[in-house]
Amino acid sequence: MTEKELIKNLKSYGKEFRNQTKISEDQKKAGWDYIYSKIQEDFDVVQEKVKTSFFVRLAENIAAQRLMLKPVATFSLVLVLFVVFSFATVNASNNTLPGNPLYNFKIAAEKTRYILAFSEESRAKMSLDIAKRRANEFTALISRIDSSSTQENHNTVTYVSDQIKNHLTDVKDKFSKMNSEKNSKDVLAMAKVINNDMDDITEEVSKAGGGAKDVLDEVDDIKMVVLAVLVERQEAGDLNLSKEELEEEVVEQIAKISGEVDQAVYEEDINEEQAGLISENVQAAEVLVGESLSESLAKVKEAKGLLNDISKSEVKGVEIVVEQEDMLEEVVEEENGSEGVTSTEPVVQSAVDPFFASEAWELEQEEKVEEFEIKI
Amino acid sequence: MTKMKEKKLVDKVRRKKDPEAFKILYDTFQQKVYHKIVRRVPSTEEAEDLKQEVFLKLWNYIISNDREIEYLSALIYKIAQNLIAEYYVNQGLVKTFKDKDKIDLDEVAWKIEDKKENIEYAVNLKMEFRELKINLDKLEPEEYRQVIELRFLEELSHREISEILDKPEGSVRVLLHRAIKKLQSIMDI
Repeated sequence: MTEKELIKNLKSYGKEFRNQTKISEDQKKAGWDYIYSKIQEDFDVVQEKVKTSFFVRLAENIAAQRLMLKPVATFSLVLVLFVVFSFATVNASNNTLPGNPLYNFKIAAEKTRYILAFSEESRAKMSLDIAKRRANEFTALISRIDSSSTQENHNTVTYVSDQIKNHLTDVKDKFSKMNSEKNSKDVLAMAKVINNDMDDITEEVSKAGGGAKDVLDEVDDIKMVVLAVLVERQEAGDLNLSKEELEEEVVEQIAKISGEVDQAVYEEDINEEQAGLISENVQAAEVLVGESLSESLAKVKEAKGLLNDISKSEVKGVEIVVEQEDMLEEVVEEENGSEGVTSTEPVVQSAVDPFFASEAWELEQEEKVEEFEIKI
Repeated sequence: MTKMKEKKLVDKVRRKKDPEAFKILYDTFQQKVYHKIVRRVPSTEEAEDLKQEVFLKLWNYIISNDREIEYLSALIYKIAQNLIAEYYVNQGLVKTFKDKDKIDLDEVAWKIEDKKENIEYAVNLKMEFRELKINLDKLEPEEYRQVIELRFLEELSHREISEILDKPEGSVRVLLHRAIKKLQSIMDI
């Protein structure tokens, strides 16, 4: 048996072993419940009291009273009451959830603060703050979902989840803009804020279990963007971060995409061949870690993009019909030597390049595997 | 999980006894710990029990100890190793065990005698892998087998293996290469 064959066998053995010993979700939950019951006596559960705002009580009291004053005084008092009441309402609305009458005040207050923010950086921070609030709401809503929940309840959860993603996209866009305009110190400071808040959001929405996948994907995306910026600036000499820590972050991204590929195969979102295709990029990323972190991350990004495209395409890796008349005409003209023969028939194009299925491709892959495995 | 994140979580557990932070650690490491244990005990139930015990010990260690934990995965592995060793002693599978009643997590020094005793693994392997497993069990010295198992069965990175074995990463790569060569020679006999 050659060394290459042995390594291949060991990998297959390992995969088989891990598949057979995978802990199920039920077991994980039961396991944690047991651990929690044992460690509970070591910590106090802090009950958060819901504080009733002084201003809410004041507003309620004033509203209940009849005022018999002169017109000017009355007008002034009404104005004061209006300002106080607005503040009280917004304050009281802070902990509300969609469906509560005060929720709209909360959203309106957030939008006002966002619009009044004086810089893109402030708006990015506002978006982060809003995303965190939506994350708290998301978890609270999910915890209320049960078999008696209506479609409206589910729609509300989806709405909040979409809001989180929208704000995260806003953060991503603003950070990318900052990267092109601001100095390294500001970019680094913003990167730290984003990373910390992404950890908080992950921690919060993870309580919701599988329902938070879209949000978590968006969080991962932002973290990749931030990491790519930091790595780029580090390699350009603009930053003086710990290379070891950056390397660790890149390696974590590689491990993550590797896990996602395995998961996608396990859930039959992609087949083994497609997984192999994506894994090429992952392996290349691994090799590049020691040479160039930015190139390694680029490979990770390619792998993620490929995984996304393949898993989400309706007809997975078989054939897709491309209807691009202009391009088609050009192609046909070129082939026919500009004889003016055109066709408007749709072109059937394989989403998996025919070259991939050929023997030559297989041989090429084997050589790449051999080259890589020598390095392990 | 990066070291920064690990330290942050350990700190939260230590200072605030935060169960949510500990849950993240539990979720991150439990599968790997289980992989380590299930290969060494006769049943999945016992493996599950030992796994849970690992994390209870980890919790107690973190909240009662101010010492900085440089390599959390290495600590968790040491705890698991100690518990497996205790298990062997309790089952009468080993004759002697140093400081059995007082396991010092800071100085793991245990030896298992007769480690090749017939402990049936809980995993029902396909026939094609049984020969590989038999030959892997024969592999000497022990660190060759260990490094192959850590790399291929538990799928740890070179960095993680270097933390567990307390060797530089480069040495781990060389060790792995030698281990594979040795295994290859055993299988070709």
